[in-house]
Amino acid sequence: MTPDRDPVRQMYRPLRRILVAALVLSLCLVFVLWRIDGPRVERLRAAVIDAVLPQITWVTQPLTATIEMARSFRTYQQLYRQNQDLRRELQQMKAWREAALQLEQQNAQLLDLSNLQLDPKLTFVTGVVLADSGSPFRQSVLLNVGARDGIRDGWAAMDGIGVVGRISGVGRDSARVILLTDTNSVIPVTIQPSSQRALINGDNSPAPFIDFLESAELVRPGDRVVTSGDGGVFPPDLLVGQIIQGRDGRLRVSPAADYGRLEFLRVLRFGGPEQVEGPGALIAPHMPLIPDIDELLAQEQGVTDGQ
Amino acid sequence: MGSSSVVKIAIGATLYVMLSAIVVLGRLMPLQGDGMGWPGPDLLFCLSCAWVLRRPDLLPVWLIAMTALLADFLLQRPPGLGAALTVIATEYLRRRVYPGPGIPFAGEMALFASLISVYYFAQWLIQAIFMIPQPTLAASLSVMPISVLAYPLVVILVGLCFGIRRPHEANRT
Repeated sequence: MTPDRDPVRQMYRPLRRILVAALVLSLCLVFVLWRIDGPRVERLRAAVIDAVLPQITWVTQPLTATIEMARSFRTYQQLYRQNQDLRRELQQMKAWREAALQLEQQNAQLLDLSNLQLDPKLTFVTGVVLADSGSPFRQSVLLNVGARDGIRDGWAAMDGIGVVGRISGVGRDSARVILLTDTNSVIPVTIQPSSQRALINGDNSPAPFIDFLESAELVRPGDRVVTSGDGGVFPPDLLVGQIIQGRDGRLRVSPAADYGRLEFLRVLRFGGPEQVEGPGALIAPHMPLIPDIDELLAQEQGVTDGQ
Repeated sequence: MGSSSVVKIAIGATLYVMLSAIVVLGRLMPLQGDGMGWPGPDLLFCLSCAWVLRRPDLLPVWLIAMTALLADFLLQRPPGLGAALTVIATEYLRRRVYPGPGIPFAGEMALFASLISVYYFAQWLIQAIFMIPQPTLAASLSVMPISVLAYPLVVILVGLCFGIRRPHEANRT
């Protein structure tokens, strides 16, 4: 096997070198184009994922299910202890439920008395998690709902309990959710008893950290964190999680959503807060600055006819 | 270089694409776990290097480029960057290995280890120059040792299961 002596190959060698250089250059061009005009190439990426992923779910879905079953089988070993724990928890929950029901009734009465209008309930679209981000440094998942289902960029995604992340990148049949733990994720929140506003910022660890907190001494581990709706990106008052103190002494949020098992996500339809435009008709009636020319002519006509 | 070699190239290419698809799908599976643990090996790069070092004639360069570009798109990496670097790395290996009888396995491991370090460092450097938000250098390079450990396994798999061995080894056995 001495392919180098092959005269045809010898002849094509410089040509091949040029072609390889052109190939590398065009790949670099794709990269530079992505850097310059990110949104367009990201749309291309969404289209590629859209074309590829729904075709492969028939392979990944059974495999994933099998592995998940093996995982849950391992938990059978701790079944008894788990059962005891759950029973204890259930007792506590029953007490809480009673308290919550009473509070709900009281709340309804008070709302009725004060005739208060709360935000309309948000509707949602539920999607199935198709795929992972595929990289340990990027925290995102892919859903099987997309532009066809009316999904838009920036909407909030939740599992049953807490916020999971936000939509970033929508294809026709798929949408990507950037999780709260991703380094690109920043969302405005309110910390509950003290009503402190802050931002939570992902850093690839399971618990995103809290930033831009005004007075940290008012915040204790265990406080509830909900979205604040600042900036009009997220609807307000969605549960995010609880404050914990990280090993580095930093305040972090332990997400209420179960990141270990993201299977179904709800995407909340949210058009952003209503904008108040103009002073309304209360201050002064709307007057045309230039009088209508036809009206003037008609008036003039009437005057001349009268004479 | 007759029609039989075209068939061979087609079979080799199909095999490569299928293995790459399995690798990428494996990474995309929505298993989550906690997701924050040790990063897995870069099997696609291992596979490309092992293949090029064994049967460069069965793996055309445009196929490597297309596969790597698609992987970039699917795995949420900057598109084109990883693909360009993979093509450069495999071309270097191809030129290094093609005219000769090949290199011993220890030398190959050393070559692969240095190549993958350069690959990740270059990727990190270019992303830093273009000011793309990215993990720290230490985190990026942490993929390297586990990939080096995985490389012999990939070589064994590719060699035993799919018969991708060096021509002279294949002749000998």
